[in-house]
Amino acid sequence: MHSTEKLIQKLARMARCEPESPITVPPGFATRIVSGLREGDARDWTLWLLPRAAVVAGLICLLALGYRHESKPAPNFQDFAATYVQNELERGL
Amino acid sequence: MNEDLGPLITAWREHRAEAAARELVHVLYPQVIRIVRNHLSRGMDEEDLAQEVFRRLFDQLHRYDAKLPLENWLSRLTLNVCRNALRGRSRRPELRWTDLSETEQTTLEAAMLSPDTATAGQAREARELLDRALSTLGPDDRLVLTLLHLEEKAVSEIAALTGWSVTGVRVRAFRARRRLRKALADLAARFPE
Repeated sequence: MHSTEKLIQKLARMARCEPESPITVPPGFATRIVSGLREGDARDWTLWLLPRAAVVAGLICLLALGYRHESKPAPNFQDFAATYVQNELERGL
Repeated sequence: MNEDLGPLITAWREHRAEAAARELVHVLYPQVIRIVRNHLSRGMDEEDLAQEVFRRLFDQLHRYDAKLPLENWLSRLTLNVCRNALRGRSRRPELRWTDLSETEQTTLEAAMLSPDTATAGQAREARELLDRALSTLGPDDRLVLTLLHLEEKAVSEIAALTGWSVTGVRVRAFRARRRLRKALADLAARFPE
């Protein structure tokens, strides 16, 4: 076996003798995880909502424009003719 | 473990039950922290890494196939987080005898002379020295050698944990050893065969 490998294996064998330090969940760790998840959920919900809200707002704008266009009074032919005649008369005079 | 955790996993997946998430954190924490400790350099914040593991765990739990052991899935996830954390670390190109402190030199000599038993202090020194030696490698090389030498995993187990093929693991281990040989040439020269 190459000496580097032997060196690593021997170090690893020694290192495995290290007693495991006690494992306890740090205080507040689970709470931090759960609150992080809650924030993530809120973020996900906002990300879900934002594009949909933009689409709905766009649709409302389009509908409003359409309605405005529809509700504009059609030009009255008689008024138009009267104004035209009046203008012509004024010009003639 | 799977059978005990089944209801907790279901409670989280279906109802986002926070109590179930807390319980899962408490049950799985020891497994996560053992892997983190084995694969990270001393001095890296293990709690931050564990937090990242759990964030991903809950994020991806809907993808977990309950028929498979949760331990394997969790180990794989934890190893990935460790690998990513190691990617951002700078590494020394080599480790020379003169780079070692006097204590480290003594530990290395002791390891070469009588490696079968060690006091807690020697073991800790050896672990730190091993960590320094492995820090000359990239994350994947380090991962494969830690799994092989420190955790004494079989090649097939490493393949299952990393998602690499058995041949892939062998090739990586071979290349990692070659790189390590180069990085530790000066140390190895002190202990001829």
